[in-house]
Amino acid sequence: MGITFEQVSYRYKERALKQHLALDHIDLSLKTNQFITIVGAPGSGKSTLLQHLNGLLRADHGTIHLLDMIISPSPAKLPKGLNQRVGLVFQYPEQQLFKETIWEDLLYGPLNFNMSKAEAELAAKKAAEFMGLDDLILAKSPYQLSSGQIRKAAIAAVLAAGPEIIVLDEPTASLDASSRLELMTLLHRQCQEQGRTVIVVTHALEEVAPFTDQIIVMDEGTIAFVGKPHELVNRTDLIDKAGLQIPAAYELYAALQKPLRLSKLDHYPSAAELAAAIKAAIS
Amino acid sequence: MKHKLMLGRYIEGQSLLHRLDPRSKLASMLCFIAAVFLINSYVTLFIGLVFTLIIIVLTKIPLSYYIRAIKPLIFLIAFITLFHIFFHTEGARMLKVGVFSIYSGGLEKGLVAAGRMTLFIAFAAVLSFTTQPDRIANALGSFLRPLKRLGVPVERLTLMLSLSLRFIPTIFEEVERIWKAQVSRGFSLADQPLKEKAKRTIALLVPVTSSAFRRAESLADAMEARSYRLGASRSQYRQMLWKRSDTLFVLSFTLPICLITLFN
Repeated sequence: MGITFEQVSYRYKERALKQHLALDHIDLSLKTNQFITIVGAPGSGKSTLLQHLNGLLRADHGTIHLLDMIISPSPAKLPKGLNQRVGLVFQYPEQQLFKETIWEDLLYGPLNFNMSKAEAELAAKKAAEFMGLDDLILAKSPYQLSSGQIRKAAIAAVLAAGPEIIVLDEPTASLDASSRLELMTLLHRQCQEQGRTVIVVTHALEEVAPFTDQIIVMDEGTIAFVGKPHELVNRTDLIDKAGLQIPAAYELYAALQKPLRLSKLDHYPSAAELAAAIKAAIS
Repeated sequence: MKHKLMLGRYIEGQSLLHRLDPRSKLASMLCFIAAVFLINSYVTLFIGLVFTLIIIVLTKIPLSYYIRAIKPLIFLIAFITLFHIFFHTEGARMLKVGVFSIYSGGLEKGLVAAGRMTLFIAFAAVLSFTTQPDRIANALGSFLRPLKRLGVPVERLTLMLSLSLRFIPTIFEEVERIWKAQVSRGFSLADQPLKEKAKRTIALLVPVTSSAFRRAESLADAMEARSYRLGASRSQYRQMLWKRSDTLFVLSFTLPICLITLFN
């Protein structure tokens, strides 16, 4: 069981006459039950890739194996339960909430997936609690909330349906610094405690790197890199191309590595971990 | 959405038609409507069809795009055709089905009506595919300008028109997004009874309408924030330039008008 892309290609048809391939014969193999990060320059195909996981976009060529499901190019039918098992949180969460109140929105998914009213309410309540949404927020309309609250509500609405894979498109945009860390920690918990697979698209390496098991770099519709975050940090060509920034703490550690004879890193450390290592070397 | 509406979309391109002045395209569209109204026989329909095909080839946009533009209206066209076929009693009787009889005149009227309708849509598609909505509005504005002396609020009208044209693709996108949001959480029209299908489609309208109002509001705010005022003199981002090719293009439309009048 995993996520496998075999020679998947996709081209947007409506927008203009001659479009380059948004996905260009992608081969990718990922393990489930991991925290996966996708980075890349704008227009490199990240969002297109995500939408394939949920069946919103159908590949022109190639097959996607997802858990025990197989997604073939249309006109083949989408596997049953795909929408429930793969939850997609949109890049602009305000586009995702369409019911009159947040509470109704949380119930929308579970009710569609044939849960009974009681089950759906229980699932919605649990998701709301997990994302820290109180009753006051649940009774409001999406338009009355701050962008951070909308973001949380959108994620809760997806979690309520109980997906095995959660896919998030730039979930930390429009969040303040502490909420960003909080959100990533929550997602990481989903991964570790519930055994769910979390797939995140982001531009901020610093936010996700400490939690990430696998990082994927996309470039012009192709996969440029798959590996651990600390392996990516040395690939400056990719970092520049994808418009990423190496976290300051990591750069500091790298600069001090030789003079302080610090050990080589075999994982991506948190800032606190780096500070402790430097402290130990100095004293 | 499997059948995306094509009519009303702009498709990027570099063809001759794309580069023409929007005024010449609008003027020739009016000529073309006149020509199509004159069509009333197989021969003239054929002339109109050939001329439209030439224009379509000039846009360098695949024919499949035009077919997709016409598709949503196919039932209307079929209805008009059948109406003519069953209710006209000219020419020779060709076939008798129950109480209905089909006459050769009726058949011709029906097919010609269908052809006229198709040509209208195809040409409207040519205009929308090759011209950005705001340019169509500009062109219309410059045509209406003389009416200003008569007290017609031309500026208000063009502003209204350009805003509504500007919002056509936005509302399509909005529908698509909300559709995606619903589909990704288990919404499905397939294997639902017809009544449920209708109900669910209406459920799509509510969020689209409310978000359209919100967009309109924020657009008004944005215009006010930049001191937009009706009647103020303003320059245009894209100047309209009438070139010789524009004159030639409009003049070329006299050809089908003449031919169609001649063969009628």
